Amino acid sequence: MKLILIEDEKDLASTIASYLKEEEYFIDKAYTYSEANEKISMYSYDCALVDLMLPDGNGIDLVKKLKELNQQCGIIIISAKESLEDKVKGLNLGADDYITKPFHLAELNARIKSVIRRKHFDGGNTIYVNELKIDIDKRELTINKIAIELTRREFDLLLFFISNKERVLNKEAIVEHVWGDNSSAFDSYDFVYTHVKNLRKKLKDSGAKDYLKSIYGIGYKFTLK
Amino acid sequence: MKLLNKISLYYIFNTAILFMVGLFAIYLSVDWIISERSDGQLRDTSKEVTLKLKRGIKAEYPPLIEIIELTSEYSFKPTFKDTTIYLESEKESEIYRQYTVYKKINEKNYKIIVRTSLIEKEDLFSAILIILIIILALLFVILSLINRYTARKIFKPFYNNLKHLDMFSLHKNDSMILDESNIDEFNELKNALTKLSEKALKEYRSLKEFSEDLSHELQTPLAVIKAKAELLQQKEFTDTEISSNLQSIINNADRLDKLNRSLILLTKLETADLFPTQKILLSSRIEKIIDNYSDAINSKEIVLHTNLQSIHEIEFNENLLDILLSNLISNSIKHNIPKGDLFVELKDSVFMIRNNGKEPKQSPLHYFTRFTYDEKSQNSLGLGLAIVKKICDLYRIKIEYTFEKPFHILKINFP
Repeated sequence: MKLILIEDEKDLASTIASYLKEEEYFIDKAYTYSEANEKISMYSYDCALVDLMLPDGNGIDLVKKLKELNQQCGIIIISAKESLEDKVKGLNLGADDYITKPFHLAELNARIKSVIRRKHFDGGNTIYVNELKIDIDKRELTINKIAIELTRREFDLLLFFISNKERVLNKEAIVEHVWGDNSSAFDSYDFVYTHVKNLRKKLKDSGAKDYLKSIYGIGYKFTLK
Repeated sequence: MKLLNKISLYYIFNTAILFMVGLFAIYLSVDWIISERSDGQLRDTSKEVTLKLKRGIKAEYPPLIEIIELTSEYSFKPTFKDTTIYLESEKESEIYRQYTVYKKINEKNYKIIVRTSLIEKEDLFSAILIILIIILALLFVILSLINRYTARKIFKPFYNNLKHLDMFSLHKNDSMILDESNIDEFNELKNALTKLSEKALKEYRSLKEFSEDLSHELQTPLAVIKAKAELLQQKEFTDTEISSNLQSIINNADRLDKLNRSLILLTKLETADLFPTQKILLSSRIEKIIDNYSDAINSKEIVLHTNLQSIHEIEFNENLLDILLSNLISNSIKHNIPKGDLFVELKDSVFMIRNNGKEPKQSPLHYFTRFTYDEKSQNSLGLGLAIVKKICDLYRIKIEYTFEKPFHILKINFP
């Protein structure tokens, strides 16, 4: 998988790149509009992360160009502005997702995977992890060919964990991904524990290995090791 | 008191004083002229009487002419004097001016007194006073008529502009358009106000742009901090001090992020005239929002009672309505007590949330201002209700917040 990261903030670009490194992507970085323009004209990418505010141009034009050059390229807009207009405009031009700064790295990672899945495995949007089979479109989990009943939140949790295998996930990232804006109603994020516990029990009871490891004071990690 | 009336009052007051002075001046001069004139007449009459006496005619006509024969000779000087004489015929006393001369005519000594009736001073005084009072009253009437006319005509642009001024708001983002007047002062005022409003708007806009830019600029460094901390978190430090500090950095960056987003939303609400609206069925919207919060409700074991029978529809921006309802529901859960009650009702267009909660330490209305909370909590920014209030203000919706032990009650009257 070949990615291009178009972001003028070098610090942020390098942090994202090192987080994504473990996913075994080939990552190209571009810090300016012209640099990005040059690279997308020369190479073909599977996914592009585009910051809208670049010092020498508007990222929106890059989205347009990326779409013209390569229909298969998944595009995620990264913006400092939570602007509905920009979002609608970007998505209309062919971007696949829109994420506002600051974001959790795990969230970005999950979104990249989701975009790539949609773009490159047309139709069969299914993930296999050892004995787990997850059909994303149907929102179904089967373990050893037995369908497991999961609640909406549990399914979201599992998918988020699997998208971030072998990563430490803090509660904030989990809550924001699964509960979104509704997280403000909770006094604390301790409730995540109950949901993870239930999910873990369902997986274990169905004969799956215990992949979920809790990390003291931080959150959880889904690990195959 | 209106300016015109005030000016008129001063005018009338000063005129009245002037009139008093005038009254005395007129009285004194009329009095002087009259007595001068009557004295001259009396002198003439006495000469006439003397002439007649010389001819042997004693022309007596009391009380106007009295001739008294004296036994001895007096050489007093002629004198003028005011005197009161009681008249039998009139049955009252009258004032007379009298002139007394002593004369020796044909070897006889006479005292000749000639009198003339005087106008009573009080009569004179009151006549002048009445005339002046009538003039003053007329002046007052005319002045108030003029005032009423000018207030209607000349002051019209002034009052119109006052209305414009009253309705002027920086949020509305358009400068004041004021009426022209043919009065110099009003025009000067108009020009000064137009300049002032333009300046205020310009500064408000630049301040707003600044705070918007600032908020957006903050997001990038925040993103770097958060991403770096999360990257470090992947190292799974065994040292709990490091890992808890890292977690604390992430938590605070998160809080800062949420705070910043809320402030951006507040700024946007203050300046927005472009929120597209659509028809929305309130009850289904509320149901959806409550459903979103079901996990939070369950985790606190809150007992939810809903009554959403209304089929009321409103013209509203979908996003803003969601923010409004979410903030209210979220607050009623967050500030509820464990196993507390939460009532959500919609009757016609009246939306009401009632929930258990701690007794507020201040009037609940305070919660509508920014950064107001009774207790600092990790998950509370103190902006939720300020945003709710702003949205209500934007749509001119009435919102009430009361506390009736043990319930917090929020009531919104949707249009």
